[in-house]
Amino acid sequence: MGRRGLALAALLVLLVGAIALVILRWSVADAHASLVQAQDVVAFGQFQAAFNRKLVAARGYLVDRDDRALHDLVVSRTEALAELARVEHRARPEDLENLRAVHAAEQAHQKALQTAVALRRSGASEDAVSAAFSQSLRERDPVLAATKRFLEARERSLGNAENRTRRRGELSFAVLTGIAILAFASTLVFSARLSRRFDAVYDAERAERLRTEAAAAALAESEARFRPLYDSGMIGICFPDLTGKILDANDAFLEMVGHTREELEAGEVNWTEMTASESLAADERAREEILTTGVTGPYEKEYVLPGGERRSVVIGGSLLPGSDGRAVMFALDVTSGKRIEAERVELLKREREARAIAEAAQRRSAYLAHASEALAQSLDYRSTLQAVARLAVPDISDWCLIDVIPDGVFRRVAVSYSNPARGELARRLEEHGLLDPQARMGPPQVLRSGESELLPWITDDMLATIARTPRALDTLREMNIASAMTVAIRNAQGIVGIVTFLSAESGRHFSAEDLRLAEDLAVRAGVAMENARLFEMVHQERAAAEWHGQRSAFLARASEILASSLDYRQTLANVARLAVPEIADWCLVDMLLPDGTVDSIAIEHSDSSRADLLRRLTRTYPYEPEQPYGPPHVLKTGDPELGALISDEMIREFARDEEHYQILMGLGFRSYMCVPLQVRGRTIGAITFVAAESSRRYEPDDLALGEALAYRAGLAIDNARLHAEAHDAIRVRDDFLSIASHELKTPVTTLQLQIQSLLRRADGGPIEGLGGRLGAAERQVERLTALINDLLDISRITGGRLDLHLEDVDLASVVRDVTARFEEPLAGAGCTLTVSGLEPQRGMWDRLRLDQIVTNLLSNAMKYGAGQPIDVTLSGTPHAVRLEVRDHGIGIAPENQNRIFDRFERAVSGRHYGGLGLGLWIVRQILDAFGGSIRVRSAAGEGSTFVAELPRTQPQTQAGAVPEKRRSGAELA
Amino acid sequence: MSSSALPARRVLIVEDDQALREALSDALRDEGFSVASAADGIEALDLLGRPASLRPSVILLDLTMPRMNGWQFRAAQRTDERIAAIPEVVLSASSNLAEEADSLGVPSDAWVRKPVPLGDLLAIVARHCGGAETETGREA
Repeated sequence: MGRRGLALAALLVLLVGAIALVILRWSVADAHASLVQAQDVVAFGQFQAAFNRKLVAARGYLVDRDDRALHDLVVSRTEALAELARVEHRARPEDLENLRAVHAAEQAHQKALQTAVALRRSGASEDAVSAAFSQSLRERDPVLAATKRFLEARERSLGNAENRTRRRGELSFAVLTGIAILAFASTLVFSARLSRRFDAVYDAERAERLRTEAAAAALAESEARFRPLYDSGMIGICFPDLTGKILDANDAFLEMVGHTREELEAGEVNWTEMTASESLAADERAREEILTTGVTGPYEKEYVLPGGERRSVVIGGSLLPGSDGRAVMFALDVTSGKRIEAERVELLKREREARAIAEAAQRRSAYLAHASEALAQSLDYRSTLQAVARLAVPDISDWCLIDVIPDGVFRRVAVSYSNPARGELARRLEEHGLLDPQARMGPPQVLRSGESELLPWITDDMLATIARTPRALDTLREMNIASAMTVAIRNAQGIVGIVTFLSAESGRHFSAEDLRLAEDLAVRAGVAMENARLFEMVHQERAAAEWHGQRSAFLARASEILASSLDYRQTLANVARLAVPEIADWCLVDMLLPDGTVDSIAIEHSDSSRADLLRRLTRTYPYEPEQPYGPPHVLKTGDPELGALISDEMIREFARDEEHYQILMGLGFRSYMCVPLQVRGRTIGAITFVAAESSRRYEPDDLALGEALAYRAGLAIDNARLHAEAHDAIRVRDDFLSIASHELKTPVTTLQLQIQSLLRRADGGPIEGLGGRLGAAERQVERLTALINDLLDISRITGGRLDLHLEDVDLASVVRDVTARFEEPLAGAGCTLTVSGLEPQRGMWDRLRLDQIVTNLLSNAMKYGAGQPIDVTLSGTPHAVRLEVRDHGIGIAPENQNRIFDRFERAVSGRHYGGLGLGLWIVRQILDAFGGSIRVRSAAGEGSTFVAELPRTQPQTQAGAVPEKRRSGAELA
Repeated sequence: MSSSALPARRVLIVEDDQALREALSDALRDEGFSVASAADGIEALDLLGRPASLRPSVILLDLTMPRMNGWQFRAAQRTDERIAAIPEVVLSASSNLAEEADSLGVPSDAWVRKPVPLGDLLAIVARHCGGAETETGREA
């Protein structure tokens, strides 16, 4: 072969090589493109998944009305749009149309969804929201259709690309093989080093080279031209033998696999050794292929560099003919593309992780915030802890159990669980004694040690250790606990509670991070419980003080009511009303009647319809002495009863039949006390206090209150009874007086008529001294008449039957009449009478009663001022008239001045002065009826002046009957 | 007491208490009245059923009586036009004379409260008799 031919061949090789390189790059680029497309398909899959999540979240928020779903809705849409943007970013022009369709459809759906969300936020009806949601569902199908179109187009193009890549691969392989052959030919010609190695094969060429310097020079020139390809680093070329030993390689290959030429020359570079284990199979297939067909590849494989770094290459080659299994391989480094992709994947992964961590952190802090809020909101630690347990699920754990340990014994206050199907299991967890208190793990251990416990993995052995009984073990197993953590709640007193978080369905395993969260929570719960405890203490003290105050006030007020009237039935009913609702929800007063039946005189409840119900019930089911509780029993035994807690059994025993029982149960009686009303040791009634809706509970202290009240009521009843008896006695006496005085009047009238007839006939008659004796008899009859009239007045006045016949009367004329009548008696008593101010004094009065006033005052003056002058003075104002009667007799000591106007009273002993002691009392009663008054000015030994004031007109209400104003002690004697 | 010179003044006493009835009869007869008496309303109506010449000039009526009391008698008297015009002087133990007078339709100056001074009683009876006398005179 001539030099020109060689040069031509070299040129040809260069040309073909260049073409092959281009094809190879295409092929690789296509492979890469396929890879990217595959990623897009994956990304699109994720878009679809995110979109589906969004639909689920939308249903959750709009239909199931779960507020938390709104967050998921936003997140899933963001994810969906991110995936779409990712695809869009890499999209080829032909994809754009489909992508835009997807985008537009998604936008339309989102808009429909937003309408529904806005409706739900504005508080629209469920129907309206559901309708909007259904509307949004109709916008879902275009999204799915557009997505499908995009994916189909992608799959088609992906299929095309694969075919193209395969075709290009085949083409490039052929070209590469050609190049290889040509290149080897060239290297035999041009490369001294190569010729040394393959001189056995290419002796002729070597001889030729040695023979012709010029040819050598030309070769050198040609080599210089080919060298750049070999040295360019664009493509790695190596020559392995069948054992995998690399006999030679260019720098690009050495660089690719991370070995030095020295190592190569030392024979230390081995194909198999530097191949990544997962590529060995591909290598093996290539080796088989090359041995049977003489060519292989291109295929992808990975080398592991001495530093551990990985290189991805696309490699292909052929067997050197007659070379005893030596081959030439061409390798193209695709690591950078791979790495970028790997980095992208890695980045994505990290981003997801970071996002997951951030979300978890956000979830935790949100949970802590919610929990803190819940804990701070309520001072009832029980409901607070229940809220905390609810919040923990499902974000933190699948189960959350909270126990408090008020007295060393676990009391479960809260159980929450994520899986609604676990309700039955949760109820079993409420049972106590599930866990072995001696177990060295779990809540018992945490209670002992006070240290938090984190069990990332729960094994069956652990369950067996902690379960107290085989049945408990079954329950625990049924929970499928994956992981557990337990923390103690403390307050100032020490450990007061235990919180246990369990994961089950979620399969998550708690980390130290989770435990920190749990501990944070426990600290907050501890503070809340301490607050609750302090609050409870203050509250209880205050409640006790209030209750005490209420009771005292009630007793004071009740005593007042009892004393207010003598009608004890009315006062007891008033006391019952007073007791509701401060002291009791119900208050009943029952009185025992003489025939042994019970009269229910009060049934009080703040709701009158409920009171009516019990009244009807009491009529339908009258008390029976054999009833073991309540009023009938207390009425029978006379002993007070305290039922701090009314049990179903008690009501069952009290009830007369099933219906009675049901109605009583419906009234919700919780606690009661029943005290007997006793008068002189005899039980005459019972007062019953019942607590129902107030949840009050009566204690022995309260019973003391009830007994104090019953004691006071008993006294009041006794007083009333005594009073009624006294009242009756007075009425009988007054009736008697009235009848007696009437009966006396007729014989007195007869007597008087007879005496006066005799007197008329005796005048100047034959019997000496008859007239004087008849006159004496007549005076005694008059005295008798006056006494009888006084007695009649008493019964009339005390009976409220003092009738006034009001007319226009001149008081001066009445005074004149009376003084004229008194002339004779006054002369007999040795009194001189002076009357002044006898101008007419008119007013609306009862003439006979005025006469009585003047008569009584004058006879009083005459009686106590015998032998002394008497002055009668009249004076008037436009509205009233004043009558003064002054004597100069014995006078009245100041301490007696008040009582002289009482019935049967005198300032001095009745032995010395006659009369019934009624005169001044009658004067006062009549003046009261006129709306007037009487007073006395006097001192012992200095005479007395009685001053009567008479209004000229009387208020209408005071005309007519006069109620007795004052009760005299004498009446009750 | 030359009573024969005076025109016949007839008084019917209706009073259940025999002693008082007799005392009143004696006292009035002493003063020249012609007196008839009845123990209750029924007896009085019986007496009044006699010939017109024997009709009283005035009726002295007690209120509280057995069989037929003063109110019942008064009602019966009013329904009999022959005797309806005879005036009454009412004798009562009650202190509420004025109201009872109203209820009977008898003027309050025709009421006498027991016990009553004889002089007052004679004056009242004479006053009411006088009116009746005039009437009787016309009838005659």
